[in-house]
Amino acid sequence: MKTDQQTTSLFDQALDQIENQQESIDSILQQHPEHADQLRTELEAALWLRHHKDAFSARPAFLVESRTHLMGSLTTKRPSVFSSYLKGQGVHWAARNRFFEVLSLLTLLLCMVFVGHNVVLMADLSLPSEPLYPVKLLLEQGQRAITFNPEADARLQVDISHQRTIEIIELILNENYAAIPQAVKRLERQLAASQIALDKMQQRNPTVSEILRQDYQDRLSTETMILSILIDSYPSDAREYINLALLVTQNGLAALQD
Amino acid sequence: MSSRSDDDKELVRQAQAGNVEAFSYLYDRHAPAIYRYLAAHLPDRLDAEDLTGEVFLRTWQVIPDFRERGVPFLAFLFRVARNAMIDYHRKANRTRMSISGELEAVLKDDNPGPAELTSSREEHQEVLQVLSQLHEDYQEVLVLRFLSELSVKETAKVMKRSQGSIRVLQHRALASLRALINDIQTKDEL
Repeated sequence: MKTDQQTTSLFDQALDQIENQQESIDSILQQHPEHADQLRTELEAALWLRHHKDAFSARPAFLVESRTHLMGSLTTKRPSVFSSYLKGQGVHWAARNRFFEVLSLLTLLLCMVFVGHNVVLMADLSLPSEPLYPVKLLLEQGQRAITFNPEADARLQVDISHQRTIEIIELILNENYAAIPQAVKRLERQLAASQIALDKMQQRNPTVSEILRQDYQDRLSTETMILSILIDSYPSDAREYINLALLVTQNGLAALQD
Repeated sequence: MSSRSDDDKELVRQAQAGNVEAFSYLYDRHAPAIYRYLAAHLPDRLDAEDLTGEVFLRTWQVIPDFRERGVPFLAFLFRVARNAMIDYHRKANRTRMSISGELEAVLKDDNPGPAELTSSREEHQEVLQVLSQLHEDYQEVLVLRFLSELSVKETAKVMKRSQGSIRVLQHRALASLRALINDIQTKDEL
């Protein structure tokens, strides 16, 4: 008894022989009488299909035209060049996938760094009452939290004080008076914090503390002078706000000189 | 002696690296079988011609990602053809009239004369008519095995079945086809 596979091989072989006119159906059946019924049915059906094969054949002209057209299209519709390049380098599909995953992740990280950097820059230039101003305050807090050296801390506090005063001057120049009272409160707190930082520094390193104090005093004097000039050149409704700031800087200066 | 699949391997590798010439050899080898497969499923042979070009274009675009993994290139190509045909059937607005297609073919093709073309068209329609009465799987196995001339192994890969199941399917499909032919012959004799 022949297996399914052997019967199929026998059938394929018989079909080829009949098509090549080496055998006829009858001669094949005589050679394999045990499969005669099955073979006859299958061979006749298969030969009927093969006999009509030409009706399903492409026109020779079509094959030539289509080939020419296809080759023209292939150059314009090339597969992904980068993917092909990686393939050409023997990089496997899984490795290529990993590569693209890492590439996507790196791109995402770069985008985040770029956006983050721009936000920091814009926040640094922001003024009270602007949307990014809380980010600026948050960044300053962060900076303070990671500054453990007393000298660096004193310098940072002085810089922040300077920043707060400049913000008030800019608010005046922009005629945004409504934001001034809140800004003045912040300046007051900051001047006190600077004073404490300088006092701590005084105990550790009096020489450096003195240099820092002198620098701080000079900057605050200049800013007080600017505020004094502004108070004389602005209308009376603005003077009230400018005066608030001027009082705070003058008090700060007095505390430094004590 | 190298098999059809082995011969394809090197050409596929070169095509994956962007070699158009290598892909054109693959076209020369397999376009006739792909066309026969499509023509056996579509009533209009011009549609089969359009779709043959489409199949090779699609294959070119995805060939960089083709990995053999037990599926030879030829089987992959037939799967692309099968999908292209499904997409074709999904497109509702295919309204090209068969007769205008034939006229176009007559004007384009210098080889067969109009009488020959009509006769070939009738024969094509006649076989389609017979095949359409068979179960879908029977049609598929008969077309792949006896019109596109794929081996049992290749047919199994295209149809995603085991070789044993393809043999059984072929046996049943041929028996059904023979019964249909008998009916037709009996009717003709009457």
